[in-house]
Amino acid sequence: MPDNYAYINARVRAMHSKLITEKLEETIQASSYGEFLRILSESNLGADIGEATAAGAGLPQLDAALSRNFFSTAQKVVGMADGSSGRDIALLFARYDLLNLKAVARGKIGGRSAADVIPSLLPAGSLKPSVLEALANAPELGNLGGVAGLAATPLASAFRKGVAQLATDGDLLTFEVALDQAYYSTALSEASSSVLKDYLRREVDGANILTALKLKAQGRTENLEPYFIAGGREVDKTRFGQLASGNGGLEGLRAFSGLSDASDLSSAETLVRGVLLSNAKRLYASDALGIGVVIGFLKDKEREVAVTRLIGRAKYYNVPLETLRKEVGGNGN
Amino acid sequence: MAEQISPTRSNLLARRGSRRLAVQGADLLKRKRDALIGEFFALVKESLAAREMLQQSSKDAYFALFLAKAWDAPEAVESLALARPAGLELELQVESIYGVKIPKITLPEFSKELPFSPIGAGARTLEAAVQFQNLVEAIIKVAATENKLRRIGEEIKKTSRRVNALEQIVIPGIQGEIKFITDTLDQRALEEVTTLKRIKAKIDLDEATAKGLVTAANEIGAGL
Repeated sequence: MPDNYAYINARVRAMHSKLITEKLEETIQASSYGEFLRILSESNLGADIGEATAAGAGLPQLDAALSRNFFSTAQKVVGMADGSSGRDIALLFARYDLLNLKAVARGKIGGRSAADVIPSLLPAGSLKPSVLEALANAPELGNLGGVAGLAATPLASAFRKGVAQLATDGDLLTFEVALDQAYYSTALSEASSSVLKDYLRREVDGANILTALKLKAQGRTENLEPYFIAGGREVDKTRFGQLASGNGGLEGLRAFSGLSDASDLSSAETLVRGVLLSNAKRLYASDALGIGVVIGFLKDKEREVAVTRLIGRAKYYNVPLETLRKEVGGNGN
Repeated sequence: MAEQISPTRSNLLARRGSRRLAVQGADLLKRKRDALIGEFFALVKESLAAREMLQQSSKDAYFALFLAKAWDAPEAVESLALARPAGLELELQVESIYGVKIPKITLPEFSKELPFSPIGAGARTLEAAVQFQNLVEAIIKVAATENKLRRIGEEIKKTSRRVNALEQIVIPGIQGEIKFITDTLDQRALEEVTTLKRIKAKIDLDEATAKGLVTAANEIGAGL
């Protein structure tokens, strides 16, 4: 049994009870953007929403406030844990390191300035904001591997190796695929909790299904192997190849059985997100003394931020209520 | 103007040639203007369709971005945008329509290949990227048709001004010059005839006086 999950989960449950998704209907019904902000200011997002309510503030301020809130929540959760639970939770949040490291590499390979790169960073992983800023400000690709503080992420060695190769061949696609692979293989091999491993394996299935459908949309039929992530439960290489080439692959899927009804990539993604969300909710309810509560909270928090961004945009642009309801309801609610 | 011209027969012939050329030029310009007007109205339809497409593409693209930023997070959308070059290179060729130089823009071909890893890239962000590619195409189409329309419109105005200048100023001016030269030449011819008649009458009077057969008609003809 993990060392301090009783303490962590008690605090996480307290944070979960304050999620704004609990009063989703109230925010959807808000008569205006101002009214929507008022509801947010009375919620758990209130402390971060200040700038977004200032005169002349718009959606960028709302987005920044929500990102700040997500970042501080992630920091709180990561900060609560130590020992094996701390390592598992850090692995779970390392997905944000993955996004940030890819963003930095994209910026560097494209010759973008630090000012272009910094807005695409979300410091919710193990890398501190100061380390991310140092990465964004590094003058060249070759300097990225030597930035102090990089070792905090479980992806550090894969990133250093990939960046050295990227500086030589400039092949961003290969670099990113290798880093994605490194994230899942590291998380699956280093996770000590079987619940986390099971959850990650489900997530790997979802990622493989969506990757195969994206490759199919691109018309790519050869050299698919590098994109396949090993370690999933239901999707093996054969099924991945079938899905990517459009030759079946959906039959026999259990958790993702609804995919045959998905008309396009977006609806397939909606379905996969829904499956992962309900899986996380199930873990939240059933794994009271394990990482399941943190996984459930993380997914719910991600959804809270996404739905809040969606409703905020809908209120800002006066999107009809029915359209908003359809979009919110169609995404795992 | 007409007063400064030498009223000579060669000038008259030259002016008649100029008038013929000016009338032919005006006629040609009118035909060019009519053809340009035809082209203009055909383009108006195309331009309206392009505008409509632009409006629809903008709506679709911004709604897709709206959803992408909400579901995939603004940071992830910005991050994927970093992987593509910021600018867009366009191929321009100049084509001539009735002498009007018009830039022809070739629509760029967007690669379906992603420069970044498809693993973890949000479907809505990819959809927004496709919609924005459609929007870029719609913008280029509108820019091309409206530029063509503006240039043809300007050429119609220019041609109309030229036709008016020929019909209202140049041709009447040449007509005036021709009239001046013709009048002057006629006047000179009349004067010559009168002079010759009087010389002849004088000769007739001298002959009659020599013969002693002077009549009143001889004396009047000689101006006595």
